[in-house]
Amino acid sequence: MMRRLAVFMVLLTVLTGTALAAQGVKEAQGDALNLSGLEHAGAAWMPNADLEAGLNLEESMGHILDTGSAEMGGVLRKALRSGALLLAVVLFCSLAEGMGADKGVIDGAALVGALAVTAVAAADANSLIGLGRDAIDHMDSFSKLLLPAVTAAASAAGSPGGAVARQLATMLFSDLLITLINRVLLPLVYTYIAACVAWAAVGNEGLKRMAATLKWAVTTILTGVLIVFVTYLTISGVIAGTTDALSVKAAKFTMSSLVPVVGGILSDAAETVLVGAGVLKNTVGVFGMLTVVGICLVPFLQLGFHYLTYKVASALSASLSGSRVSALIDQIGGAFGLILGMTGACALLMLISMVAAVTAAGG
Amino acid sequence: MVEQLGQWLMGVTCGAMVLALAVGLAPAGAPKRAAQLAGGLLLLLAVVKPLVHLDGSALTRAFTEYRLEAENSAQGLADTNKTLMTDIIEEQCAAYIQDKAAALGISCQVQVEADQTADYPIPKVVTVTGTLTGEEQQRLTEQIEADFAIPADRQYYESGGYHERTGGEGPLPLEE
Repeated sequence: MMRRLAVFMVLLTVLTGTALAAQGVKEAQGDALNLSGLEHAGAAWMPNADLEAGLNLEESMGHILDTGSAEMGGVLRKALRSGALLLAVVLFCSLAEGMGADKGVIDGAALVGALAVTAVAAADANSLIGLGRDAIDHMDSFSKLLLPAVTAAASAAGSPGGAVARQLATMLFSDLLITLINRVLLPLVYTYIAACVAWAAVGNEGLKRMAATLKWAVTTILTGVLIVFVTYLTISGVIAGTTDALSVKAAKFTMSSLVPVVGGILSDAAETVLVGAGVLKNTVGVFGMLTVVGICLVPFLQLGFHYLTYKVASALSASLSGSRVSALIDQIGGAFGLILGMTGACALLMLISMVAAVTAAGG
Repeated sequence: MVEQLGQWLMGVTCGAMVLALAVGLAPAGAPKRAAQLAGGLLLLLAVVKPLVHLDGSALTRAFTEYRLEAENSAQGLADTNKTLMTDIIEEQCAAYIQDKAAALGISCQVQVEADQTADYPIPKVVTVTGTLTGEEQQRLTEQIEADFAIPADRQYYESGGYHERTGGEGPLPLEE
């Protein structure tokens, strides 16, 4: 009985010691990764997160859903108000058409209707493009802290090659995409709206085709960047994965070539450090994903509901008036869709990178 | 590069818009055809011009910069992890030797120092503190040599105010 008790006491001491050591390892690794800085950067969208202690997924998801529910009323009200204004404009246009407004060289009703729709949509476009831009900027500044932390953790968790390749691809493509959005795609969206308004006012088919081409260009550039990113990430991941596997094999060989006692202790220590880094990598990765979702939530709701409202308003107005005004509403809705696509592309890039980091097998 | 692409796209788009408006407003007949021809030539010029000034090395430069940054990030935890591993290894090796000493009937305190310069922190120096007889010291030295491949000249036995190096190299002065 006494012997069993003694064995139990020894086991308890050893296990408690190991657990305390693991906890100490995690704390030291957390300090090295500057997790408090990361928590602070994401606090606006994921408050009360304690990355060292672990992430409460249910609570975090609940917070995101609560934010979405709280914003829903305001978003819907704003979108419906715009929809009602647009329908009123179309109604007046159809009345003017019905009263036989003269169709000279320029369609007066269409011209006034196009300008009125533009006036209503301008405020929406300005605030929604601003929202999208803000979300992209927030993701950009958050990624500057998130990516190095995930890379360091993933590298320490046994896949240094994969981690470097992932950060390289994500930062390169993220910066490329954000620069493209700010300097090329957003100006193109403004030009697209201008071309649509000009077409609705003047009726020149060339302008309509140009607007379609601009929309195609924006969509193609976004899709292209994402396809190239995913392809690059996949190929570089496979290559880096092979290199990492070889490194792990070499490390195991080195340990097995040592004196068994030393090899065993070295292997245990490496395992403890590796496991700690792996846990932190997953926690930081999931925290990054949830924060990106949190950053995009309100802009997505605003853009999504406005997109739907403009599309529905366009469909309803087409039955009231066959003029170009209803097509203009549809095209401006399309512009919101493009902004939604840009924000979504930036978010998707980050999410793909985080999913790849979390699912990557360590050594 | 992106700046140039943006300017190029905007130039082409603006050119096309002006062309469409000019052609739309021009009276039918010869003036319309002339406007189409002039506009078409201007548009062609706007499309071709930036291709002459393309900087092919920009992507390679950016690629190298991002790689260096990523490699720096990957090193972020390496030093901490090596220190942590060293601490764990030193602690576990000391505990192991102390257990072995206890099994041999020796009561002592053990301190292990690992080699920080190697790829892996392998135990390098052992300091045993306690009152050991010559035979006990000999047995423990052999045990440490067998289990850790640490030769006798890197095993230090400390007792009575001075370090004594096994292997017959004489006592070492006690460090402050």
